[in-house]
Amino acid sequence: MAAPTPAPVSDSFKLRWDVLLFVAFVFSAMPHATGVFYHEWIGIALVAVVVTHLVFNWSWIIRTTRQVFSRLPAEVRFNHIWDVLLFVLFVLTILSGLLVSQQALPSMGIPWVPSRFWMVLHNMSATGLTVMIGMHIAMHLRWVWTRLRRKPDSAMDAAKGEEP
Amino acid sequence: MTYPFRALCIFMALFAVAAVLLQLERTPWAERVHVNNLAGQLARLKYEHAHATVKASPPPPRPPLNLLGRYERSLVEVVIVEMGLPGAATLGILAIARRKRRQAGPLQSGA
Repeated sequence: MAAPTPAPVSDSFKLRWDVLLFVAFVFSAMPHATGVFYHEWIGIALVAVVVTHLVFNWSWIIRTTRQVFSRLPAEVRFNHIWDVLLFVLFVLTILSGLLVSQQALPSMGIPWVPSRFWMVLHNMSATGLTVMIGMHIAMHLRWVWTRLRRKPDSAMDAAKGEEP
Repeated sequence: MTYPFRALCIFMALFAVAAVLLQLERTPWAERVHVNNLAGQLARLKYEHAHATVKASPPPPRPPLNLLGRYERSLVEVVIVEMGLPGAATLGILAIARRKRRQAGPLQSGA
């Protein structure tokens, strides 16, 4: 018996979610403006937003992963490898951010002494992540532009499994 | 596959990557940062101790980590400089690659 296929998410909803992700990331990248408290909590919330972003684009990820060593165009292959690196760097940024948390973990009753090493790593990975996200958006800008120009679409567009 | 199962898979991948990245703490680089930090603290204590013999009140202790000091960035810096410039460079490279591919296309199809 085949596994149940969930109802596809429309491209316009995906686009709105991506805008939310972008805005949340930009705010979290400015701790001086938001304050450390909001910086840390937005960062923690970003995990759920990014996981949802990946769930929405699951079919593209799986299809491209299956084809990455066979018949993919170079641009798509590079895109996929870039996305994997982006995921690893995102995990590193969130992990190091949690390990140098000054307010979020203590407010949950978790006593924590921030480490200098993870602080250095957090600064480096966050800067790298910002640059990589800029390039990630640029690589998918054609998709974004197409969705922006199109009228609100039906859920059937997502069923086609187009590029995220 | 349903959405919760997909989310579970992604969370598992996330935790697996995090578990691997936690091993960075055991690298020589981490040890070096830790030793440098301790050496800095020791030097500061020595300085404060020497200073205390001359002056009655030592300087106030520094906070352990200054998150804002090294991380001060404005909206323009984040969106334009750090994201916009690499994005623009990527767009340029993509445009060149697509043009080359379009030019090479008829030759490949004719072969």
